Amino acid sequence: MSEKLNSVRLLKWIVWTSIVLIVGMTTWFWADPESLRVLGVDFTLLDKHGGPENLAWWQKLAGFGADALPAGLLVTALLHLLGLLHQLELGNWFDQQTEKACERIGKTMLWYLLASFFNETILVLILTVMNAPGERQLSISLSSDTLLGLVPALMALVIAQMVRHARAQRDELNQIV
Amino acid sequence: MPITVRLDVMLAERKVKSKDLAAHIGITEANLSLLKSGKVKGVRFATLEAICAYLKCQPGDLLRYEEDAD
Repeated sequence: MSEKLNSVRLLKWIVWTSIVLIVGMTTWFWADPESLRVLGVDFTLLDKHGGPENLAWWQKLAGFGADALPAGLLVTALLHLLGLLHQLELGNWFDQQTEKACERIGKTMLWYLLASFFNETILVLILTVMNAPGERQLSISLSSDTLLGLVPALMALVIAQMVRHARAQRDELNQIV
Repeated sequence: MPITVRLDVMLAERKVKSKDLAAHIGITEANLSLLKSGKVKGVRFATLEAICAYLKCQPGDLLRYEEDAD
């Protein structure tokens, strides 16, 4: 039992670290992109449109906004995951709150995927909006990462259904003496 | 529900207290009370067996099927 609790605590620690990294990196990326280049961060999209050094302040702000939406949704999903881990720590494996947490994780992940799908489109628009007419761009890309993100989202929704059925069975069993 | 529980009748016939029966068969008095009032979804064979052994009766003495009026 304590081994399980330890693994839950470890997961909580990983989730908190991920939240800090997501928020920190998203902010850092747009606040001071040049310093991140040293760390090997991918700037392909920015470099294709003149590089981060040529961006106006409002483009950086808009870019941050465009990135903040999926990042915020991912952080929200992780916060729901923390809620789920807290329920597991309390031993509430089949409670309604556990089911709701799984459902929220799944739904937030689906919103995150949708936001990620349009993220590049918005970024390209922001980066090229100052170009001469005819040189402004809109792009849509569907990467395997986006599709891969469907797996945890759908898994969380399926687990929510499983918890619902398990709870119904447990409640029925509790009515048998 | 067409199945009615006649445990209270058997307890009265055998002059056994609910508390004693609950202690003997290992369920709470609250659950025994629910069983007596028929507010449970089912009875485990183990519970039924323990009740029958203590009250020296048959399962048929405890449960009765009555057809619904409608």
